[in-house]
Amino acid sequence: MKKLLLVCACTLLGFVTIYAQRAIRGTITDDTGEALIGATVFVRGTSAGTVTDVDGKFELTVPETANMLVISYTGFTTQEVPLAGTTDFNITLAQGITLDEAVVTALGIRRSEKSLSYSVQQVDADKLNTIRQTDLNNALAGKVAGIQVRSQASMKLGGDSKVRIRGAGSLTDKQPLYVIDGTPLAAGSSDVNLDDVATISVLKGPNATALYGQRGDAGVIIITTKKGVGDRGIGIELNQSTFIDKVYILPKYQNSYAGGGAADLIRFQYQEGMPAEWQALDGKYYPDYSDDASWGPRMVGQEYIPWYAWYPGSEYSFKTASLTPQKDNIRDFYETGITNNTNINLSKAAEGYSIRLSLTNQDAQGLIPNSNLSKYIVSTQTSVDLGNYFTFGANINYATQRVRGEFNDAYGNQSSGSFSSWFHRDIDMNKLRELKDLRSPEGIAASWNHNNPGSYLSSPLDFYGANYWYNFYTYFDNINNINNRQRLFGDVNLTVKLSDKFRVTGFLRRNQRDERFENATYYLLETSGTQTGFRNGYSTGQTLDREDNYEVLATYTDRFGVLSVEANAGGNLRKNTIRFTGGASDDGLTVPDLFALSNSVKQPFSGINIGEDNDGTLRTDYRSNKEVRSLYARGSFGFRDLLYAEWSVRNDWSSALPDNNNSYFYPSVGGSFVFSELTKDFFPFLSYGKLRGSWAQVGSDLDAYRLGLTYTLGSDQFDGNSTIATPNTLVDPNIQPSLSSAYEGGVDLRFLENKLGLAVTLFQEEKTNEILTVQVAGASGFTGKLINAGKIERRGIEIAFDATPFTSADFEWNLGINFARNTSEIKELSEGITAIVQETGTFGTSSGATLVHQVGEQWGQIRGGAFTMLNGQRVVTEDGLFVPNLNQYLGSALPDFTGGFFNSINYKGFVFNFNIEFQKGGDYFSLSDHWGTFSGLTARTAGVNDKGNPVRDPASDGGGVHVQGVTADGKSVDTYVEAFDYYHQFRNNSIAEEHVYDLSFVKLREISLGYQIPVQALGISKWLQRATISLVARNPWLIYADNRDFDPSELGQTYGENGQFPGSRSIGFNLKLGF
Amino acid sequence: MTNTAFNKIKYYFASFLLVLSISSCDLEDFGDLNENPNATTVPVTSALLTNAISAMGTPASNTTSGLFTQYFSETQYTETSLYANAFFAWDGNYSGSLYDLQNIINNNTDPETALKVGIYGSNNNQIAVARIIKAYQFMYLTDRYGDIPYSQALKGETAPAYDTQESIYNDLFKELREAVAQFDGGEPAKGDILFNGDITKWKQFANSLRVILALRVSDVKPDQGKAEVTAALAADGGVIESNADNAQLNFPGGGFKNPWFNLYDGRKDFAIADVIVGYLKDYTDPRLQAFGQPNASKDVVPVPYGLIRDAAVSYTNSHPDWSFILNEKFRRENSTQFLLTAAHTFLARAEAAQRGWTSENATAMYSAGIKASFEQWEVFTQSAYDAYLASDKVSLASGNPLEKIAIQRWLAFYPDGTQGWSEWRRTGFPALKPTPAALNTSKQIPRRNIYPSTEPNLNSASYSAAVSRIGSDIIDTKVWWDK
Repeated sequence: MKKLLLVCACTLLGFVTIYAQRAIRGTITDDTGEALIGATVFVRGTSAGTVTDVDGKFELTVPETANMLVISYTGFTTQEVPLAGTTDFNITLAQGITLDEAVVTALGIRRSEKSLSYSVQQVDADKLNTIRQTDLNNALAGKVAGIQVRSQASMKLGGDSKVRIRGAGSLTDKQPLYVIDGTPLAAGSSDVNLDDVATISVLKGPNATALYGQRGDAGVIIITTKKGVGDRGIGIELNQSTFIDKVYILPKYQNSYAGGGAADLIRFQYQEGMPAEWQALDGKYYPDYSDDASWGPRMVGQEYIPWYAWYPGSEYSFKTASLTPQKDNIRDFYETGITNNTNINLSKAAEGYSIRLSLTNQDAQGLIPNSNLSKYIVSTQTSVDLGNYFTFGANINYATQRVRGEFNDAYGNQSSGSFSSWFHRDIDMNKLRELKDLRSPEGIAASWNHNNPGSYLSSPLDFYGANYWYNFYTYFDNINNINNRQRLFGDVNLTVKLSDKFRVTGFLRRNQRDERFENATYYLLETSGTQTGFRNGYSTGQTLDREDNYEVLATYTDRFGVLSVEANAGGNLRKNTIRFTGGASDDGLTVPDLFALSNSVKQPFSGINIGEDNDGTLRTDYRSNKEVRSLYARGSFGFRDLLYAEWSVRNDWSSALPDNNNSYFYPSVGGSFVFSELTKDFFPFLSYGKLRGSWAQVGSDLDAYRLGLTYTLGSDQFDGNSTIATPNTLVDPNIQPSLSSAYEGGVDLRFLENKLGLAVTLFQEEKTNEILTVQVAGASGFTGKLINAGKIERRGIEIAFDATPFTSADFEWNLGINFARNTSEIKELSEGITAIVQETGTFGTSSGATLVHQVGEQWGQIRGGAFTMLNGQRVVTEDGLFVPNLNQYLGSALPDFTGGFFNSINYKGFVFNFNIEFQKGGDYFSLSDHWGTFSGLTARTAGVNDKGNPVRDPASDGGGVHVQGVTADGKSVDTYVEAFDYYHQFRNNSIAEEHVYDLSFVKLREISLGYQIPVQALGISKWLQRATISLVARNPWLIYADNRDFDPSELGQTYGENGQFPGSRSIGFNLKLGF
Repeated sequence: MTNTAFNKIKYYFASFLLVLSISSCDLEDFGDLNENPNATTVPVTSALLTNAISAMGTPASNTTSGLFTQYFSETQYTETSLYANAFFAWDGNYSGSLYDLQNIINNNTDPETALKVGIYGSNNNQIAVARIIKAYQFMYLTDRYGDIPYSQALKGETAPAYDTQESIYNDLFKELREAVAQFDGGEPAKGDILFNGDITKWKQFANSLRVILALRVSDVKPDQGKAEVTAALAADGGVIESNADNAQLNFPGGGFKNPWFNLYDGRKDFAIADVIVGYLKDYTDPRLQAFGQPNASKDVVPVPYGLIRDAAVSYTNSHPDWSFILNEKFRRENSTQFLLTAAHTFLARAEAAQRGWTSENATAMYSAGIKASFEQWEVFTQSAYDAYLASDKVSLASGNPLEKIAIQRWLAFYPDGTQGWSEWRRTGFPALKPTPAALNTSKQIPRRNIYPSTEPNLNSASYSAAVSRIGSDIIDTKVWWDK
């Protein structure tokens, strides 16, 4: 390592000196005040010239005869400045209309796009903030080639969306690393306020991320915040947006048959011992309330006893009603979400300092009852020159967030888990809302899913108590889950400028999350259910998750005639600390609704699974420390503006690896050839053309404390005897650091004065020895094994096309299309392991699906029961029921290609933007469809057969589902199967294939129509610099999906959906004022 | 640039390199930073033993087997009792208590650790106890699935081959024989919440288990069965002959609750089935009051076996006093759970004697077994017992002695479904009828469990080899001893 640094030093130290007659100096910045590094400054008509340093500053000696400076910078309009009058120049370059610009690369180093040997896609604030999303990932969707944003239903307040860069390059579905102003954000990007973001650079492969090492092996998203700028006005900007959010995509439900398992209404016979008021209902008919399926009677407006008629105290008590479908009951359940996002920021800059302060309040009322989010973000970016040699900087972000609500959207949750899996299609949601405080005389909360009247005779609770489901509104009134999170991230830094060309910066960085949750379940739920399984309970926990980085970075830039040189060298010390304390009551609370762990019925109370390690141990406290030490260097050489070469090296030492094998080294090299420099004279319509290629490696380690079997004491003693369980994860004693190697090549072309642009990137990546815990055959004595897992090969192509078809003084049209195709093949795993189970859904091991990586197959195969096929026909029994073929691969969870289309039109102050995201191929499994079909909720369970009769009519009366197939011995079968049997067989005989759907979709993600108020024309520009008002919409239109029951871009699980919340659509407005 | 500036740069860069070199001299030494402060790396074998014993009640409370043998019926979701395809994971068995037991054996065997863990009881005594519980657990596994990973299991081998059930049975006999002989005069194993260090009881448990296993091979290897029974009865310590010596778990409640309590802790999916209640009522069997929860008028109201969901739900609705499995006093969180009892052993000896394998008196063993069972379930009265034995349905003298013994063994094993199901599969008694609503292709009562669905994914070559050996991985395939 030291040798390498010496090599690096040598490259820095060869240069020539320039003789001159007159000294000038100056600073080149862009219109946000950001220094432009490496901008070319030369004197017209002479050979004198230089490039700006890391502060955008230059010094030059010019011949006395010179009269004009020419300043050029890739991506900016070249500017000429007369030399007369001054020797100190502060020049602001205007951005050119092009994507070919200065981009932020690893370690926050801004570089000319020309010199890059790999693909980096940068998204600027205006494109990012089309509709002013609050989630950074959602704002990137469809705008960057090769990234797949997996959003979450927006009703999950505070739920983070996920990003996959270049498909799957890792056996785990690893998330990219987010870096804000150089500070790694280990806990994701959710506390970054988009109003503070100037640009986002997406570093996709190891070639771009090599300098981040292990943490960047799934790609890096680099966020650069806005800096303070000098402004004519007072420097205050105000942003206000308000969205309203409504449920959009819902499964298709049947609206013909009522709830229950009994196909007919049941006659109520009053019996001795029942409440006297029930005599009014004697002889009337009721549907089977207790069974939570919808295989009940056809709803034709007949008289029946509704669920609420049995409870005294409402205007509907002891009265019948008419049984009618409730077509929109699920849509009616969800409330209208309202999100307010207010930002005010102040910005000022002048010679020697810049400062920006931004305050944000985000406030959301969720679509789930009693859910809300309140968040405040303060961020400040400061930079102050202390004399000529020192610059002090600080970027501090503090966010505090409080989320209230229960957002469980897994199978069996008490909202969507009922609606799409187990529900009665005759339930009027407005009645549930109206009657949420209805109680039985015993104080039992009323439920639509109470038991049938006969059970009253065994006890009032047996009748009135919720069988499986509460009145959802009562439920959400009696769950109080609060999560408070404080997040601090940012850095302070000091730059020592040793010369114009060389400087060293030290950074202290911190990213800290303090999170505390307090979850309370009220006693009413315990006393109002028979099989709901809820106990009066309380759980709480506090996590401190901190990462500190101590970083030194030396930067050198110079130009020697036709040769330009840039080099960096540095080191980093990273310390990760996790502390957790918490617990959960067990077996209920002794004093009802006293929410304290000391009030747990069972003492000691239970631990909580905090997911910091995978041994499944419940913990009341947990500590972990980890340290990684790194040294690195990089450099690049440029010949004219024609040829560039670059390299990087990095070595890491990780405390989590075995003592004798904890060091790992990885290099990268690359080059680019700007051939348009040679062709520009005879091929003028090619304004820019570049070929690039690179090779890189990235190493990786693992979490702390994974290297041996560690035994944790059970929290309970058996008659005074302690218990210990052997951990279930076996560790390969020869664990070594993992390594990815990647080749990447591409071409960037721009035509017709940059009006058309095309970038194509091809890559191939091989990841070896990935460290992960894989599920192994339990008979080994262990369920998991920590291994170096073989080899995964990823390859793909990314194409980005942009165009400015038309531009004039008051009209400008921009558009961009991007497209990416990735494949990831599992080449080898470990000895004795040919498949890895990546994800097991609820019921995944019985009738549902699992996600498996299989050697020789593409990443992420959905596995489950299939139909048995014989000569292209489905094999059935004599009765017409399908014969299952268990444990088959049913498709890949990865799409074949992803892409997006971005369009922007400016006309006389009107701005119209939209972007469309699309995806083709890939499959997902729907658990809601699985159970919703089993329980007679989905539309197809109440369709009509080819005879024109309802499928639910008995087959003997012309009903039933028409089945054609062959028996195992080839005999053809053509029969009608009773709908109940037909739709139950997929669960009963484990045929997951029935519920696998295509992931393809086309979706209008964002659309906005804005108007820039002509403050100048109105004569108010003295006090109002800028004003824009926009109408915006998020997820306005799912243009295409194979199965419209769910939004394929918002699936909760890698393999599909697990009973999750529906998608929603928001519309709103955004007002931006600059003073 | 001037020479001065150049020198300056050299100077600063040299200093920078110096700083880096100083900091880099110890870059790969992290001290004890990676030592987990939350856990220990040394297993406490007594705590492993307590953990393993606390899980012994799990196989004896398997509801699926109890459905197949018609002890229980499902009250709402009835697919399992209609023989829907169902996979049952075994990972928890192997990686749970079985590996804890293997870990006890390993640590007491490995010379590097044997001395250290010797403080939790003599190495031999710890190993012997672990081997017995292992045999007990493996019996349940192989009886449910047939061929399973055994000889290569519990070794960290991620693709263990499946052994034939025949070879597993051979090894179980050997393990139990050797374990009984392995106990030495040293300290008994600590953490023994089953027998509290009483080595004689461990020997009785092992020998009794050997008798149960020996009878299971009656159709396929009667000679071996006979030899094993004879040897077990003559082995050191003898067999369980008194309810005081039963292998039973006395749950403390709280963190360790009786599994039958847990079954109804928030749910009510299972009822005692009409089939077993039919026998109990038909025989005027006093155990009826213990086996099911009596209603207010002291009647046990079973739920018919094998109903489709709609019918089951409407049945429980119209019979709100339907009976849970077991009388409430055997179903508290701190109730005792019976694993292997004197009744089980006597009745097995009765069958062995009836088959002529031993010279014991079949009737005497049979009567002792029924008496021990009545006493075990706290329903013994002399008059009821006398009347019971005298009835034609029970008395061996009135014919069909093997069927009667089989039925009594089936009754005595209640609520341990796997034992009851195994006995029915082997003997065909009692004459159970499959549910008419069966969902499987054969429409017959299942003869085994399907292998866990993770096996074709994670252990595919071994799995395929096993499947091709047994014919087909379906519930209708018979296990080796089931002829």
